Amino acid sequence: MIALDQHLTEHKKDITQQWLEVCTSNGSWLYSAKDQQKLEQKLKDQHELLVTIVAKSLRKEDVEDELNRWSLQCARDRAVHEVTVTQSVGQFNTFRHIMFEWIHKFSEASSQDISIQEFYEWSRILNQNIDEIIEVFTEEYHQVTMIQLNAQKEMINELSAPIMPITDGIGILPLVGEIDTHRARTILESVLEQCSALKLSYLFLDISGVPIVDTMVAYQIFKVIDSTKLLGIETIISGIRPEIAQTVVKLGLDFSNVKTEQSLAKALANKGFKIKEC
Amino acid sequence: MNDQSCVRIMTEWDIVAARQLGRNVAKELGFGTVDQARITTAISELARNIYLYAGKGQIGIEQVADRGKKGLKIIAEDQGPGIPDIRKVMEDGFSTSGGLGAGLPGVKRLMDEFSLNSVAGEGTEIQAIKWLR
Repeated sequence: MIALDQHLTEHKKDITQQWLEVCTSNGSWLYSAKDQQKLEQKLKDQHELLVTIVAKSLRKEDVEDELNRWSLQCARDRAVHEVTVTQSVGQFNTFRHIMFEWIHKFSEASSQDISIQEFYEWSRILNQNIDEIIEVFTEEYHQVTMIQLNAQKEMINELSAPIMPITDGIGILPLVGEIDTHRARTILESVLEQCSALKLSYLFLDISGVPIVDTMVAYQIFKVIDSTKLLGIETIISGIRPEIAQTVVKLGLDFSNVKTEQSLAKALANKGFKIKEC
Repeated sequence: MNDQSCVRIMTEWDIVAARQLGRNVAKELGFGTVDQARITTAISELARNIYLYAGKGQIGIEQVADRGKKGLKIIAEDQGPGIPDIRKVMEDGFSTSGGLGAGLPGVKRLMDEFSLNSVAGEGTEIQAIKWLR
């Protein structure tokens, strides 16, 4: 009589095929549509390997390292192809059900009596394997997405303080969106660098795109003004909306040392900018 | 609409989330843009205090009614170190973190009602209400 692990390994292609069919019919396609054939092959190889690993562990061999490596690789692949965690975990569970079916069928077809203990042990090992995969997979998937997220955050930060030089010595800095301390620090650093690189004498800081001005935001704006002053730059704030003005005054923030203009257009006009029709 | 919603403050981005929640509730209740800005700013200050001084806590936004008046209540709770000298933190310009020191007195001025309850070593609870006019 052949052993269970041997039986499973021999049928790894059938098992994988069955799994693939169930997953596809569930409407959860495993990878994105492009390069389907190549990816399908990869997926098949990957899951045939998984069947082998599970079979090995049913033989009571230690597969921890292999399983770990498999889950990590799988997580990276899926994250790159933007398959969601929910989908992936669903697919692991499908794999679990199919494997269990095969084990069940094997025990029924077996000429020998299979004790309930033995059957229980197989089921325990299978479940343990899949649970471990899910744990390692989700952790790694999370890591990969966090890395992507941080890279994007960094990128947004780098773009978050663009000074536009409009003429010799004059630059415009439109601030848009929520400001947190991290972003504020990036803004301050990059503003000072850009100001000295562009050799500015005047900086127009427009905050009409900043949704709220609380003490932290105000404090950061004051810091920008104070430090640019040390570089010999005059900073003019514009775009304070009426409701922001009221709130700022209620908060008790002192803008009296800050040069302000109603709008960027007005601030520029006061410096002698106007459009000439020719 | 739920009568009470809550945002846990653990990272700086939760401050933005709390403030957005507050703005949405204020809008739904019919507050004008000026009051919306006041409420959002107050939430921002309270949430930032939690983040700076207690590390974590929560901001609750509640719809309240009293004798036909409707209003919005902000509840800021944390299990942080507490405030040792309450009179001092309500002074303008007092800050232990090098900020502008306008936070709490500012919140009091922005809202209609304000109450502060703090036990050293146990935490702080601040409630503030803005009534709809």
